Amino acid sequence: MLTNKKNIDQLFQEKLGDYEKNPPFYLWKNIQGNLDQQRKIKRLAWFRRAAVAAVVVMAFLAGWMMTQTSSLPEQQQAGNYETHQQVPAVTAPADPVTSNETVAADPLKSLATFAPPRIAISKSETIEKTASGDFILSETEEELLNSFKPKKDVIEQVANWVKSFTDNSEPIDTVPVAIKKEPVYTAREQRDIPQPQTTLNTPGKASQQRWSIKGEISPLFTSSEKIPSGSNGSDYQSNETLSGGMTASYKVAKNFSVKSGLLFAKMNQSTRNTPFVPVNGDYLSMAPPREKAKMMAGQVMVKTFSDRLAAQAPGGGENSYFMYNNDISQEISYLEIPVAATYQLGEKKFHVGLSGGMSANVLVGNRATISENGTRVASGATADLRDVVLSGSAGIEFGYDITDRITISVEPRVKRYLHSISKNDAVNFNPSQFGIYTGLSYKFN
Amino acid sequence: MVNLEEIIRKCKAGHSKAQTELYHHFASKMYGVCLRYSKDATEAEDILQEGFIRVFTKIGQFESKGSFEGWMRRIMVNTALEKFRKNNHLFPVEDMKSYETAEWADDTIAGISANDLLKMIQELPPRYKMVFNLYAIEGYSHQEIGEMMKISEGTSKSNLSRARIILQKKVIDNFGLDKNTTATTLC
Repeated sequence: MLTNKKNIDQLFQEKLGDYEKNPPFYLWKNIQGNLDQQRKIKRLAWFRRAAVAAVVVMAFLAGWMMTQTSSLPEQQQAGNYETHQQVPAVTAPADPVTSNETVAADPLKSLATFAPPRIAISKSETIEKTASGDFILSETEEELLNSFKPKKDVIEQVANWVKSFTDNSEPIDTVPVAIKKEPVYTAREQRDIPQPQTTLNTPGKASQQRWSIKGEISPLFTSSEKIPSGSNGSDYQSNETLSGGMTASYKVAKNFSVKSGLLFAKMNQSTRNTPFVPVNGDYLSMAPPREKAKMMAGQVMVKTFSDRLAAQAPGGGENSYFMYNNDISQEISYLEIPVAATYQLGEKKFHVGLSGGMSANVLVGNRATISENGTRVASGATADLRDVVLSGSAGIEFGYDITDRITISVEPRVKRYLHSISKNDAVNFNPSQFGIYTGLSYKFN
Repeated sequence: MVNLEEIIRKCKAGHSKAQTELYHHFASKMYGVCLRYSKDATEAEDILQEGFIRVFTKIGQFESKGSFEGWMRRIMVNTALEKFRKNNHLFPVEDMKSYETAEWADDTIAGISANDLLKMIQELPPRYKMVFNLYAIEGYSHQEIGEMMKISEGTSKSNLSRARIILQKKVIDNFGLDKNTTATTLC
C-alpha cells in the first residue's frame, strides 16, 4: 500500500499551520485597558487643544474688552478738550464759516465741524471779496483747504465711530456751556439739580463687573431604578449625596458669560443580596445580569476582610461561593471641572439665566463597604472605574442681587454622564444626576 | 453567522463592542501563531497583546481587498519579529550545504500531537525558530526572510537546516520513529 511520506517541514506545517488555542481571559482586559488609555490620551490631547483655544479666545476677548473700556474715556477726554479749545472760535464774530452754522449740540459732531475753521481763521487775511460780493480764495489758499478735506472726513469718521460707543451714555454738555453763559447757582439750587446717574468720565460699575466667583452647594440625586429582587436576588439603589464647589465666571457680553471651576460630586449606591465569587485570587461581587447593566456602578472587589472572616480562611476553590447575600455600599467621588455658558434674561435685581456646558469628572474617591446582616465584613472598591468621565449639564439659574456685587442664586441643574463610568463591558452605568444648587456670587471690577 | 465586514467597519469607527467581537473571533487563531514564535506562553501573550493593539490602531489602513485574517497574521508575525530583533542579536552561523532529511508515513505521525510539536518549536534557539516558522509554516522564501530579518539568504538557509536537524532529532527521539532518511542538498 502506498502511503504519503512527510518530511519535517510538512509534519510541522500540517500539525501547526492552523493551530489554535484560547488565550487567557485576562488578555482582552489588558488590551481593552491599553486601548482605553490610548483613547484617553487622544481625548486629553483634544481637551488640551480646546483649553488652549479657550484661553486664547478668553484672552482675546478680555484684551478687546479692556481696550474698549480704557480707550473710551480717552476719546471722551479728547472730545472735551477739543471742544473747549474751539469755544473761542465758535463764538468769534469774525469767523466767516462757522458764523453761518448752527452749533451742534453733539460735541462729537462739533469736533468734526470745528476743525476746518481753525485753519480758515488763521488765514482769514488772504480772503478777498469780488465785485459781485463773492469771496474768492487765492490759489494757494484753495489748495490749502482742499488738502484739508480728507482730514475732515477722517475726523468725521472717527467722531461717528466714537459716537457709536457713546449712544447709551449721557452727552457731554460742553457746547451749551461754551455758548451760554454758565448760570450761577446758589448752593441750594445746586443741591436740587438732578445729577446724571452715570457719566462718561465715571463709567457705571455694572459694565465693569465682568469677573465673578461663586460658591454653591446642593443635594445630589442620582437616577436609578429600584428593581425588586429577581432571579439573582440583587437589587440596586442610588442614594442622595452632596455636591458643591467654586466657579469663576467671566461676562463676555451684556447677557452672556462663561464659567469654569471645581465641583465635588459623589455617587452612593446600595446593592442588596449580592454574592461574591473568587476570581483569580480576588473576591468580586457577582456581575449584574445584562438587563441590569444600567443599574450598577460596577462590580466590587474586596480589599480587606474583617478579622472574623480573615480568620476563617475564606474561599474554597474556583467555583465555590465565598460570601452569600451581602449588602454593598459603593461610594464613588468625582472632582468635576465644568466649562459652561450662561445666558441671562433681564438685568433687574431678580433675573433668570439659562446655563449649559460640559464637564470632565476626574475620579478622586472609590470606596465600598460590604456588610452581612448589618455587620461590616469587608471593605473594597468598585472595579474597572474610568479615571475620567465626561458629562453634560443644563440648568436654570434664578438670581437675586442683594447688593451691587453680591447675588444669591438657586439653580436646578441636570447632569448626565455621557458614557459608562466603568471600563467593564458588563456594566453600562451612565446615570443622570439632579441637584438644586444654592449659591452666593461676588462680582469684581 | 459573524458579519466580519460589518465588525471591521465598526472597528474602524472605534466601536468598543465591535473590537470585543473581533478579538474573540480571532484570538485563538492568532494566539496559536504567537505561540509558535515564542519560547513560552508568557511571551506569546505579550506578542498577542501588542499585535491586537496594533490591529485596532491600524485597522483603518486595512483595505478590504485581501484576507483580513492574513493581514492580522502578518501583524502578529511582524510583532514577533520586532520582539525578536529587540531581544536577540543575530550571530553568523556556519554555512551548511546538505543535511539528512527524514520522512515518515502519515499513519506513523498520526499520533503526534500539535502540542508536542509546539513545545519542540518553542525550545528552538530564537533565530532558528523564526526562520523555521517563516519558511516551513508561513511559506516565505529565503529572500523574503532575509529582508524581514535583515540577514542574508545564505544565513536564512543555514538557520533553517539547523532548525530542521534539531527538530528531526527531537521527533525521532521522542516518538521512537525510524530514521527513513535521504540526503538532501539545501536549495
